[in-house]
Amino acid sequence: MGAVLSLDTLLAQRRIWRGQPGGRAEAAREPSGHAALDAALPGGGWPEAALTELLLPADGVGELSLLLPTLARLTRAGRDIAWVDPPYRPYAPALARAGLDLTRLHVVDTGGRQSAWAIEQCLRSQACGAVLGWPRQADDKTLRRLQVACETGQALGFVFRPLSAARNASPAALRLQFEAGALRVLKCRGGHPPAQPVPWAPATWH
Amino acid sequence: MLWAAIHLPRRALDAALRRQPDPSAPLALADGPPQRRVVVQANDSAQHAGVRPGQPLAAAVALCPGLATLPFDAAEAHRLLDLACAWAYRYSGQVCRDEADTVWLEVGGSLGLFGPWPRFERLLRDDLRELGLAHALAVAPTPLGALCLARFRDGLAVRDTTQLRRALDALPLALAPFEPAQREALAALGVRRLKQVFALPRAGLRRRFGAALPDLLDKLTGDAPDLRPCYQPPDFFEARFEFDDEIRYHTGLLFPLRRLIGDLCAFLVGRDGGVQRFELVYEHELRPPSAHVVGAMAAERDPARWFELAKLVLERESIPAPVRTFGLRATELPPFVPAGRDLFEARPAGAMDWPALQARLQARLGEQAVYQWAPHADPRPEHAQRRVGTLRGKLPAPPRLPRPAWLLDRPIPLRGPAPELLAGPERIESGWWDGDDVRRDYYVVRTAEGQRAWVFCAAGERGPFMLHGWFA
Repeated sequence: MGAVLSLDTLLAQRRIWRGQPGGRAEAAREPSGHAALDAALPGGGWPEAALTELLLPADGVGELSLLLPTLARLTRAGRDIAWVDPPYRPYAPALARAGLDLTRLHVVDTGGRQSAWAIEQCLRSQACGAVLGWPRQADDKTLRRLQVACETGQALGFVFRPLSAARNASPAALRLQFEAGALRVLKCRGGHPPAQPVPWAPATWH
Repeated sequence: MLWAAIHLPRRALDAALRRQPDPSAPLALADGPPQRRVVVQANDSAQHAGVRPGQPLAAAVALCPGLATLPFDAAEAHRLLDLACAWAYRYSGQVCRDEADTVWLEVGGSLGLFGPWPRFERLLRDDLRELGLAHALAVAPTPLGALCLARFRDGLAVRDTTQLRRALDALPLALAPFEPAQREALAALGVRRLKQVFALPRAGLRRRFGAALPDLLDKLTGDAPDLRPCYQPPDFFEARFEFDDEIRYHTGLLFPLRRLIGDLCAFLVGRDGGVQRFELVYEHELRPPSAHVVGAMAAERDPARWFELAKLVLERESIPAPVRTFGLRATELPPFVPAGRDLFEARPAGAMDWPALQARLQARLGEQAVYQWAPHADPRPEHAQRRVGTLRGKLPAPPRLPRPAWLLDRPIPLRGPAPELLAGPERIESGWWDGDDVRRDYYVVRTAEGQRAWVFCAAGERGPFMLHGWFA
């Protein structure tokens, strides 16, 4: 001890846990594009260079609508997006309608057994702005690897997992659970998860 | 003209050592009839143990129990000289070789780019060491003169013919490039050094030894031109590795793979080319040969990157049968264009761009594993997009009506209680011309679980519904 550290430095480094977040001076660098969600998240958007886990009760509950504004923003900025082992075909006409640059979307089909490897490679490579992954089995160790890969590659990682995975702890920086008409934040790094679910409904149509 | 001669005195041994994972282990090359095999060459650690060329093999093994022996392979040594030519071609446009053990390159024209000579020499020696070639190197205005100096004293460099003549004067007769018979005859005359040969009257030499010897002396000193055919790099690359035993697992191929790719890339740098795909060829004992293809998105010549891609291919594809011979063959060698990089690019080391990442993914997962969806102007949903490798060209305008973000591979019956209709119907009727005509009414519905689905039924009816997509 002995060295005098300025409180601001420590706060800026996010090394101090704060019970109540102070005023948000800086603009969010990765806004989700949904005002209610951005307001509820500590950084004002997706955690940068980190893994986000989306827990779905079923397919087709709006999981892509949540990401489409982010993907549209990234592809227009010239970043590539990798979809690793999507459960269905991403439908190009709908994605084009949502404003995505289709030339920047790449589907990686591993046949299911190597999805974790492919997601990690995409995240780590720094070639992708965001990586969407549907791993068949993802244990704690796998998710931790993916989280580290996000940090190495400075990319946004999104993994889609069934709701049954919500019971287990996860190293992801943000965990969102889809509910009827709302999103429940199970975990968010750098702040308390909001007590109430964030009201959210997918945009009526794309 | 200034010629650098690179003399490779033990190229057969080098060729064998390049195939050994541990080049410092004692190794000897043996030749001769099976009853009386004789050591031809031995590496340093074997020589340290007392193994000498000319020794019977049995004696050598007795002296050095851990001695590994390989047959002397002249063809392999010849191929190594080809590789040395391909390597030398990157430093000079004029490269030639003889049938024995020497490669020459014209360095006078290359000094401006790679010089001065001490630095150029260090460059050459570093490369030769990396290629695993024991060598002697000298520079002189004539090719033969350079060779004599290289054999006389490694590293000698003379710039003009008077200096060369002075250096050659001191050359012992044993190192002069004469026929053995001529050398013996000269020795019988009492000649010990080349200076004494130069002093002999030309007419007498011609009468005694024929016209060849004085001509050779003129070529040696530069009084007569020494014309040699230049090396032309071939338009393909092929190299192979033979094993004593059968290799059953891919891990056993990694060391040879690294060597082969290193040779390929050295060859490519020499001809300033790249390679986009090459074949790994396996030869088996009782089966026809098999091959795997390694490819990248663009022409490349970075050995580390190629090794990584080839390793991923080896890990993905199992070896069909135990391998006796492992080779690498590249038949298309497109020009290499280095990727343009921003000088102030902030991306850290190790970053890849998308083509590099795609090549890595495809190497492990297969060519078909990475693709894009291209929209296609067709009203039928299943034909409205196509799977392509790389999306190019102008894209059709997106549709005006709602479309789901997920499309099922093929429609399935919608199960569960009757869904709530949100929008529709939208009649899609098309495709009579290609035999795949559809007449459907599409609806957007909400299922009991809150999913929003895109379903259809036969035109004009209200069910049963087929599920075709999710508004995710």
